[in-house]
Amino acid sequence: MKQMAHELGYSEDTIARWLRGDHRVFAGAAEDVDRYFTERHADPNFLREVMSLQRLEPPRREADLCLWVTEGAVHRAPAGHALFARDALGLSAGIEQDLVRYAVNNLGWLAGTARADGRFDFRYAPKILDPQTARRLRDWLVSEGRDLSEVRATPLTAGGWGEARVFSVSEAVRFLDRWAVRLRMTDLLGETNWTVVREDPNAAEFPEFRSIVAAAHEPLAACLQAGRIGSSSLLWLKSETDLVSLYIGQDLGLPVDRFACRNVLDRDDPHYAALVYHHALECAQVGPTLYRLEIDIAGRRRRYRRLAMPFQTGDRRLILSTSQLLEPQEELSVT
Amino acid sequence: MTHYMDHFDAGLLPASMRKTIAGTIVPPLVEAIHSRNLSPRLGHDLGTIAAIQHKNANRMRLFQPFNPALQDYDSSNTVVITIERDSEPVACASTRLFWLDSSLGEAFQSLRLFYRDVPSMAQPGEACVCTAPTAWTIRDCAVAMTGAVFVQQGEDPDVARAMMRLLHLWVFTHWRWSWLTGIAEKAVVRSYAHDVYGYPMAETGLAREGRWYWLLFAPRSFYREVVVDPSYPALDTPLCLPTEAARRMAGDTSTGFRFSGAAE
Repeated sequence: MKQMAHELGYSEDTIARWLRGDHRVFAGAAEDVDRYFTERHADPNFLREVMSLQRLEPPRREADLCLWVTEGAVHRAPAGHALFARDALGLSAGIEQDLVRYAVNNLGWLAGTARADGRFDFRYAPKILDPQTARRLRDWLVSEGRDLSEVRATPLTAGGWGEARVFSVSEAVRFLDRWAVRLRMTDLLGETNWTVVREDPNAAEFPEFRSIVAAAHEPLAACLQAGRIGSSSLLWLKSETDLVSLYIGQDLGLPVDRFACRNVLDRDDPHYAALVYHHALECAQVGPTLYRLEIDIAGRRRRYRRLAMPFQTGDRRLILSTSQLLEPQEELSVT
Repeated sequence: MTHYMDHFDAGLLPASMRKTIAGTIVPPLVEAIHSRNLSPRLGHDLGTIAAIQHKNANRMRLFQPFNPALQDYDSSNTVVITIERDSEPVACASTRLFWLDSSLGEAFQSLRLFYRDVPSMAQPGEACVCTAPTAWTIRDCAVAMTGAVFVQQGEDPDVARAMMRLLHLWVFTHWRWSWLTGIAEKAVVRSYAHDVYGYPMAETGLAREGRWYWLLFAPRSFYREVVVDPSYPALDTPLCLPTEAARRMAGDTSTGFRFSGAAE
């Protein structure tokens, strides 16, 4: 149980509650556990046993299969990438240009090839890759890519196709999650039944929040003074896709060894990661933000308010996040 | 010279505009050329223009900003498009990108637009007079200048239409500039400047080498709207007519109103 909790990023307490039947196990969590058994212990039978499902083993491919991943769908391209792109763009035969590069570089499509030997290659343009497209491929890998031995991602750079990065399927899923998480907030919330309400930080209900907002130039000192450091966290907005957890308060009940010094976007729950990411980005751009949240974290419903304060040390853009549960009797487990 | 589509990178544009241009504007224009057994090619060497001019000296003059012997140029400030049949160019055009330290009028009159080194390259007594009012208001900005336009006799008029749209689309997509400009004689202004080349403004005048020219202008804001309009790849629709967006804003909902040929 310890190992599973560590691998999946859930608290041991959560997993214990699942086992006791105290908690509902959401589909995403069941999928995580299935992935854990499949990848860690080569046992692909978890979902079949638990849910009496018959696992659909993908048939072994006899030949390479070309795929185009677009914003809207994953398209099979049995005649090859170039022919599919040519038809999609309405071009006639006999045009000799590199249409794969054109579509990847200008339309933001992903050119994938599932090879008969079990490898999967995809080519993409990092500077314009659409989050929705990344998510399509991510979902395809999760549903149809379990038999793949490795995934190779080849970026298009100014000088042409760059050096491929080699991933396991789960690493590739995580890599694509980083892109997918950049989906617009409205799209993201549309997929959940969460309540996310922005409030005025200057009119915060809690006096400690107001004192931190008042000390905008030194929020960390104000947070310490207010005795809230244990229920706070510190994030470093290193780049547009790199939000690092520098500190996680002990009262937050999160697996510090799993999350600390790691990119928030690498966390297993993409919706929660996206929420934290968007709020951090917004805070860095517009200043202090206060949200009332009713969301699921690691399979558990939480109601709380979170104040985020931006500040800077040297050239580092930091965000102090401090949370106050609206149901104090519950264990706090938020950032 | 490589194929136009291999050279096209709309990564600088916002996603919606990029997808519209790459998905629905470029392919039909390229297809219009391919359907005539021609191929659009793109490069950055003014030597290509000089070679075409050398072969067609009776019909084409080499304007100084496009003469490789008189210019310092590289891929950041020069683009050349050719339309080729069996690897032989049948049409060409080029655009140069200039930064104006003062005004466009001053750049013409000082001859700096014509020669990389005016004292050593200009003829004794050579002069240029610019009276176009707009040229004196365009200042401290980047200006793209198109010229060296040539189409072999007997080619379909649509070849020039498609070529100029592709060229200016590339220039809009890849470079930052405030104004697109060009120089033309009066007969060319009447026949091509608006409908084929896509300049909404034309002003007299520029006096040079005993000839009188018109200056053609298009602000970037004009192209920002035009290149994403569904009519841009429609070669039977002249450029410089109101876009669909402009007509919607003006309240024109008439489906019977046909623009085609209205400006010819």
